[in-house]
Amino acid sequence: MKKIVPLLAALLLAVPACSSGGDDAGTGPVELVMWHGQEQAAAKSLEGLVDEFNRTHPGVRVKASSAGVTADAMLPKVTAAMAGSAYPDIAYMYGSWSANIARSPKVADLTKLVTAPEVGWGDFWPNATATATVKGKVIGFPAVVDNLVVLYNGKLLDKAGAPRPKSDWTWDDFRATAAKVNDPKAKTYGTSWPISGGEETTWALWPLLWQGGGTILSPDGRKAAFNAPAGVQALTRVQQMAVQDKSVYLDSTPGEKGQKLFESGRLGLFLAGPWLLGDLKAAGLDYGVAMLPGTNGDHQTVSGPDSWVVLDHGKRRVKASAEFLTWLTAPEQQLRFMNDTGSLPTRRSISSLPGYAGYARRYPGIETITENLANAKQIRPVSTKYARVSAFVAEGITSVLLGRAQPQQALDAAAGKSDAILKVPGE
Amino acid sequence: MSAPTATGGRAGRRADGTASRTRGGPAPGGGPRRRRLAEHVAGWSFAGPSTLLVLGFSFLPMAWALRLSFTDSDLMTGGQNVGLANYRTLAEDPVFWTSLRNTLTLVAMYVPASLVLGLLAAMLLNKPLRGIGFYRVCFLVPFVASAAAEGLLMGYIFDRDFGVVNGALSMAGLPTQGFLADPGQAMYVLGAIFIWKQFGFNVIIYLAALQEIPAETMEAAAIDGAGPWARFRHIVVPSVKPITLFLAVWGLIDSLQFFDLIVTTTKGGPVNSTVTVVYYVWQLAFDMFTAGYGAAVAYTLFAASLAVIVLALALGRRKGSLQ
Repeated sequence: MKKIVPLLAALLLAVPACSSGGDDAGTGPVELVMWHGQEQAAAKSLEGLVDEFNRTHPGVRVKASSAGVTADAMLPKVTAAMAGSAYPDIAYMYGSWSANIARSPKVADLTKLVTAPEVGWGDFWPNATATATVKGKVIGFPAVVDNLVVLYNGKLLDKAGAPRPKSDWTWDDFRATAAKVNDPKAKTYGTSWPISGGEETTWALWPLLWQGGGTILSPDGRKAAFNAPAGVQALTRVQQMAVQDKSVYLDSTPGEKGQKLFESGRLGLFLAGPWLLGDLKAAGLDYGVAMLPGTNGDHQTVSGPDSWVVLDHGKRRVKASAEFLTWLTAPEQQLRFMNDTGSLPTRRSISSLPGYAGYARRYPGIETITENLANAKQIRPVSTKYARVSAFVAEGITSVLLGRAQPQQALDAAAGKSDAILKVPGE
Repeated sequence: MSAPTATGGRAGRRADGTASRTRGGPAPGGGPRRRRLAEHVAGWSFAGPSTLLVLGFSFLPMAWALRLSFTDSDLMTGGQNVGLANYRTLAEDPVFWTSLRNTLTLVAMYVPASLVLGLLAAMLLNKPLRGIGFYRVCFLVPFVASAAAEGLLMGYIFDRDFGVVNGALSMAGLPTQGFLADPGQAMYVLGAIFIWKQFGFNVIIYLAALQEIPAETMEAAAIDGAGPWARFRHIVVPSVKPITLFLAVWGLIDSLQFFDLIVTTTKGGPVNSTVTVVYYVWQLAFDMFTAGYGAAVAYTLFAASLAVIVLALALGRRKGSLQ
């Protein structure tokens, strides 16, 4: 019995010692944990690439998994993991989270590492590297660039006698098409809008606001500006479709039901992006791609470059993470990922690879989305407070689309709540 | 005999026992003292590991969260002390009050319904029917199954446009409902799903309690001319009263912590109509980067639920439910 006590004590002392092991010390291959948050086609493609990296790079071993969440739930997962010090080396993070994540001392500083010539940092699109850089500190590698487009079901549009979108179409055309396609009896809808209340609800409104000359916040970022006439007009457009025409399927999930509807041929127009193309191909749907409708010829869209953020587990692992990401984001590997998923090129030189033409043929409409990168002229506020502002706006949008509030009133309420937060000092 | 006396008696006995051991303890020579030390060591080596687990996984985080609630931490950085500012903000936060109202709606739905339905179902399942084991399992399955899976399933069943419930309503010629997409209905639908999911637990506990009631008592009452209602009213209900109190408190705790079904169905929407206090805490801490404020909300919920539960237990004791 007496021997148990020292044994227990030794065990207890050993536990913290174990968990802090494997940092900088050690000589074997560096083990890295990667949380990619991808599903279906994208997850399969990434894991294939990781396997190949592990085969060809004996010094590094990457263990990749989705971490059991989808990309939109990666932030809470990583935040909790960081609080508990069980965080991965590499995580897939939305660009809109950069400002918040960068505050953590556990985020690695890659500023020097990305200057290595084999990284080709200058070859990435500028808005992708800008997203991965917060106040001069590089926190990750560009993972995916995308932008909001309209995916349409050509057959459904033809059947309803609606013209297919042209490059100069307007929001009135969008509304008319949605109304024509909409047929509640046949469970077919003009378009859809997520009402679950997250960023998914909010971000599709911003292009309408920008096209009307509005801004999200005041120039100094201390006041809400989305309740100015441009914002009200933007929300009124969506309201007319949802409340008057009833041509909008109000999606209580963050877009998952909308995607299923579109895949099963029950949705005419779908505000979405290239991240769906892989799944649509798998579903065998004949889809078309159009740029967003314009206001006075302005077809601005919103883009969301996402990053592979590197978290700090000591120099050795950070260096290995950079080595792996340099390989993963190199043009050849990117093209393979693009071929599997329909995602967009993250860097210029990809389009000069010999395989690029095949990729463009494989995903009809991909040129439109690539061209549309030029329409992503403005970005969402890079502020730690944006998440809450977005939640207030989402609440306003949802109450309007459900017919419980008017646009001006709903946006004013959201602006009031946002102002209270924005006025507090801090970035 | 009222309960407080009984408790007092137990405490007295415990005090006596301790006292007698102390008196018998210090004997001449080192032997017995060493034996007592050995007893302590043995005792702690049994209790130690679980005590450490409870301390490490419950009390330490609780203490940490209390500290957190006085800061503006975002979990990324430590944050600065802000004193009671988080608690002051809370009083003026409309979403907090909405979340409180939603949580209380759930408590008001779940606690009475799960007790009544639980007891009724347990009485039915207490009958000597053929295949009774199968029926009993049926009631337990929703409780055992994962809330995430059930949430996804229910999301489809109660879908406004494609759900089978609305399908059945329209076939019956009744107007279809918004359900989870309607801010006026969503919380009630979630409450109903929660009752369906959770009351199987009450059924099992009640079933065990019912089987404790001696058959002779029921038989004697029947011979004395007590009808089914009288037997239920005067024998069954009083016999299961301690269990009822336990289940009421348990149900209260359960519904105050309602969270997982929301994540997989509505994510608090539409228009915050299904944000409960715990869901709001999670949103604040992990979606909105305001962990300090989230901890303040969590602590307010903790204080409020502690007060309610102590009150419920005290009331139950006074009525003599706890023996």
